[in-house]
Order: sequence, then C-alpha cells, then structure tokens
Amino acid sequence: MKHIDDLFRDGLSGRKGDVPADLWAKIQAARPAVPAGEALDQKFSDALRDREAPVPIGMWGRIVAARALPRKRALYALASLALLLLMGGFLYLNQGQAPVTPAATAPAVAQVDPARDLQLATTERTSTSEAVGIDQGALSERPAPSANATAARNTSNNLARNAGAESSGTQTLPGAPVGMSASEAATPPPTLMNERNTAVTSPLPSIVNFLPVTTTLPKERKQKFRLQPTKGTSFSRAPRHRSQTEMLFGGAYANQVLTASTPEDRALLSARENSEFPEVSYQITLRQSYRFTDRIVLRGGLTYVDVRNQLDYEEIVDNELVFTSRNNHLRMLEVPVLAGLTIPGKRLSVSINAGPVFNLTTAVQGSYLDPDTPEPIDLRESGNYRTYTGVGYMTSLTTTYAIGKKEPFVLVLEPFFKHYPGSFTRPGARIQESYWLAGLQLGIRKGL
Amino acid sequence: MLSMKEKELIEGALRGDERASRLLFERYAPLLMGVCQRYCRTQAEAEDVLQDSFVRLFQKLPKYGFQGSFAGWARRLTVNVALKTYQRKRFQMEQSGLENITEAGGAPKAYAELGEQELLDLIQQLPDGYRVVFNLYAIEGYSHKEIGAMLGIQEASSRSQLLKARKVLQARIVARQKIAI
Repeated sequence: MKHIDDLFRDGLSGRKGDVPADLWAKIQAARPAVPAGEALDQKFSDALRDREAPVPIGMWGRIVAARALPRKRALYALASLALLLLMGGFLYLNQGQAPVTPAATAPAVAQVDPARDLQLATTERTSTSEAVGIDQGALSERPAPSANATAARNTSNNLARNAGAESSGTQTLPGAPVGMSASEAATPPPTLMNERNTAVTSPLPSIVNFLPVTTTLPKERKQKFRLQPTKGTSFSRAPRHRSQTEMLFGGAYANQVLTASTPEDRALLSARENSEFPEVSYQITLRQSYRFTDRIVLRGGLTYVDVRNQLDYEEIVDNELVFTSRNNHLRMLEVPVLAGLTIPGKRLSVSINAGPVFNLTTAVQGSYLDPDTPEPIDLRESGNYRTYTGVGYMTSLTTTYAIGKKEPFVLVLEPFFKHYPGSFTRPGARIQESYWLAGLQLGIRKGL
Repeated sequence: MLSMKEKELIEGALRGDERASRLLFERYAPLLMGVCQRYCRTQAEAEDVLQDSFVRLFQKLPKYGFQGSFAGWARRLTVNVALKTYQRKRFQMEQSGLENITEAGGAPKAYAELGEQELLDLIQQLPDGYRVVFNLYAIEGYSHKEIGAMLGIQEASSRSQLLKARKVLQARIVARQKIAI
C-alpha cells in the first residue's frame, strides 16, 4: 500500500493543473458587487440614454400613410357633408313646384273656363259694388278674394266697360289679340298667380279703384295629392310600370381583414398589415327592380366591383432607397339579389334593401410584401387567390327623388354595406383575406 | 442651439415640404427608436410607438417654437406617446410582482461586460410598471412627483415601483454573473 501511495504522491504532487485563460477575467468581472441604488441607475442611464437604434425599413412609409389617414377622413367627411347640403338645398328649392299628379292640374284647367270666369267676375263685381254703397268696413271684413277672383274682377271691369257684363265668355276684348277669349285675355300674369300675400290694386278706373282697397291674398293652401292604390274595379297598373332599370356608380371604403393561418405566419401578416392601406374602391351596378306591390320590390342585376389597396414599400434603386407606392386591385363581377321594403312618397321615396350577393368571378392584380423574399410577390402569380369567392351579403338604403312632371327623371342615392365572409385566398394560403365594404352609390332610374 | 441645417429642416417640415420632413425623420428616428425600445417590451410595440410619435411630432411641430433643443423636445414627446400606449395597455394586462418576471434571454455575461443590448434586454424584461418608472426616473431624470403626475399614481407608488425595479435588475445581473462564472 505504501508503494502505491508513493507512486501517486511522486507522480502528482508537483503537477500543475491547466488554468482556463479567461479565469482571471471572470474573477475580475465578478469582483465588483452589483451596484445598487443610484449607481445602478447611472449604469443604465450612461448606456441607454442616448442610445440610437436601427429604424426598421418601411417606417417612413407607415408614418406617411398614418399622417394621410386623418386628412382622407376629413376629405370624405367634407364631401359627404357637401353632398348632403346639395341634396338638402335641391329638395328645398323643389318644394314649391306644383305636384305632378293629374288631380293637381285639374283645378287649374277649371280656372280658365271662360263661362265660370265671367260668372265669378260678375258676382265679384256685384258684391264689391254693394260693399262700396253700403258699408266701407264690410268690404274689409268679407273674405278676401282669391287671386283668380281678383283677376276675374279685372276682366269683368274691362268687359263692363267695353261689352257688358252679361255677355258670353267667348266675347273678345278690344285690347286682346284677335281670337283670344275673355278669360284668356283676363288671365293675369303668372307671377300674380303664384305670389302669396301680394297686395293687388286694380289699375282700372272703376269705382272700386277709388277706394283704398288693398286686398291681401290668402295663403295658398298646400294640397297633398297621392295616388291611391288601385282597388276593386279600377284600372290595374300596367306591368311595364312595375319594372324599372337602375344605373348606379359609387365609391366605397373597403376594409381588408387579414388573418395568419399559423403563428409562424405572423411576420408575413405584420408585413402585409403595415404595407397595405385602403384606397377608394368603386363599383358600377346595372340592375332591374320589379315592384310586386307599392311597398315590396325585388332588385337584381350585375355589379362590377374594384377593391383597391395601396402597397407602400421601399426598394433600393441605384444604391438609393426609393419609396414606392403601387395599387392592388381585386376585381369582382357579382349578382346582387335584394329584397326591398319601400316607403313611398310624392317625389321622395326610401327603400330598405337586403340580400345576398353572388360572386361570378374574381381577379387580382398587384403585389404584396413577404419578409422572406427581397422583392414583392405578384398576387396573381402567388396562386393564393380564388377566382370565385362565394356569397356575400349586402344591405342598402335606396333613396329616390323624381324630377320633372310627365316622365320624371329619377335620381337614386344609395348608401350600402357589403360583407364577404369567405376568404379571398385559398384554404391552404398562409394569410386569409376577407373584406367588408361601405360606400355610397349615385345613379338614375328609368321605367321600361 | 439648433444648427442652421436643423432649423431649415424644421422650417421646411412646417411648410409641408415632404423632403424636409423625411430628412428630419431620418435624423431623429434612430434616437427616438432607442427611446421607444426602452419603454416597450417588444420590437413590434416599439415600432408602433415610433410611428405614433412621428405622426404626433409633425402635428405638434408648429408648437415647438424653436425653444430649446429639438432632440429634447422630440424625446419628451416620444416618452409621452409611449406613456399613453402603456396606460392604454395597463387596463388590458395588469402585470406586477416578481413571480411574473421571466428570465432574461441571451447569453449570460458578467456585470462589467454588460453592453447596451444586454442592459436594454434587462429593462425590456421588467414588468411594465417597473419598466416605465425606472425609465422615467433613472434615465429621463424625472422626479417621483413628476412621474406620479404623469402616470396618475401616488408619489409613494412611484418610489416603490422604482425600488422593486432596481431589485429585479440586481437579481437578474447577479444571476447572470453566477451563470457566467
């Protein structure tokens, strides 16, 4: 045993072990205790206070887009406000126009009946004369004559002077053109007919004119005329009036909803979310509306939609960083089938519509950024997009306004909302992409 | 004092000159990105704060008035944006206490060798409340009273958060040293 002890003692007692080269450095680094309090603060402050960090590529583009957003919003709000004001002003200005319905025009025809004019004029004259002879105050107390009556009174004065008040209505006035009847000649200027509260003083030298009679015309009572629905044995509406064609064009905001299929695709999702921004999308619609009843309408047609997004990114051209913007397009052809409930009006009518929108075909154009590739990838060549995107849903509020009398020109204003629940990309794609649209269409409607 | 070129850039940005705005961005973005990274846990968050900061900076530029350092003004504005983001987030995910602290990533290094990135990592790993108070007090130099007013908390809460932040940082550094040695 002693030999073994000696063997190891002799062999290893003087042996020097290998010292790691960085041991001293480690001991030195470990020597100072970790500072506390203000010293620790100072350590961090010295290192980080003025530290500069690399700015990610595309940050300027993001800032430019973010700055432009409130301006665009303000622009849209202003445009909407201006449109509303225009519409409001237009409706207000057209309020004073005579109604288009035949019931409204019938009394006007009756007023130009010569015999009636003359009879009315005679009555008027008699009553006026009596009032002059008997009681001055009674004149002012009696109901004020209408504009037509006053005009007829003037006519009667003329007739009394020239041909006698009892003569027939076909009597021609000396001052009037040949062939013109008494009532036609007596018809006052249109301004007199339409003026309300107008002081009318007869220019003729009759006895009435010597009196300080100033007659205030009564306010023209606004009459409401509305076509009653056909009942019983009355004439039924011709089928051609049930069907109308509408041509609409409008802008929309298309909200892009991107979803990563797996957590690994979040970088791609982030790149796309930060580089693609909505532009003004638009759609054109040609559709037919068929009215089942006064309130129920079915609308169907063809719509072309162009969903536009802007792609912003930076690329190196000739060793210089260049900011680039491109437009992406999602073009769709679709068939909306909408059921509408109409609230009819004289000129203005409102209809609430809802229904499915069937996609016929979809095409894409543009590109997107992928962090794994140096160049943007073409949307079409990526093979991720579907050519048929299924069924969407649409709701809208159709407001129409009829301009004109005989064959009214119907203006259509339609705010709408559309939602496409299905993804525009194929099931296996890394990013699922869907949209909703909110916009405003303007157009015209014409009966067939 | 502002250098002549800096003043021209600011005036250009005020006039709406896109090139001047871009140059102003390029000049100050790295500094402000450094600030954002200190206040945010992740790079994505820091980028969002930087974007919001520059949008706000260009909005508020007319109020700058060429009084004092532009860098200081821009830094204060960025800190305010970061605080607003933090306050919005605070209601979403309240996080406090040492038990929620995750281990700092990266290779362990001894205290003396801790560089900017390691120190930044340590700060970013702090719970949100600690991180904000530590940044405001230790690095920006605000007093507890000012921090209390900025965050809507008691002065004492600010002190307490700072002490806890320091404790966590110390613990983390010691842990790194042990692993390193």
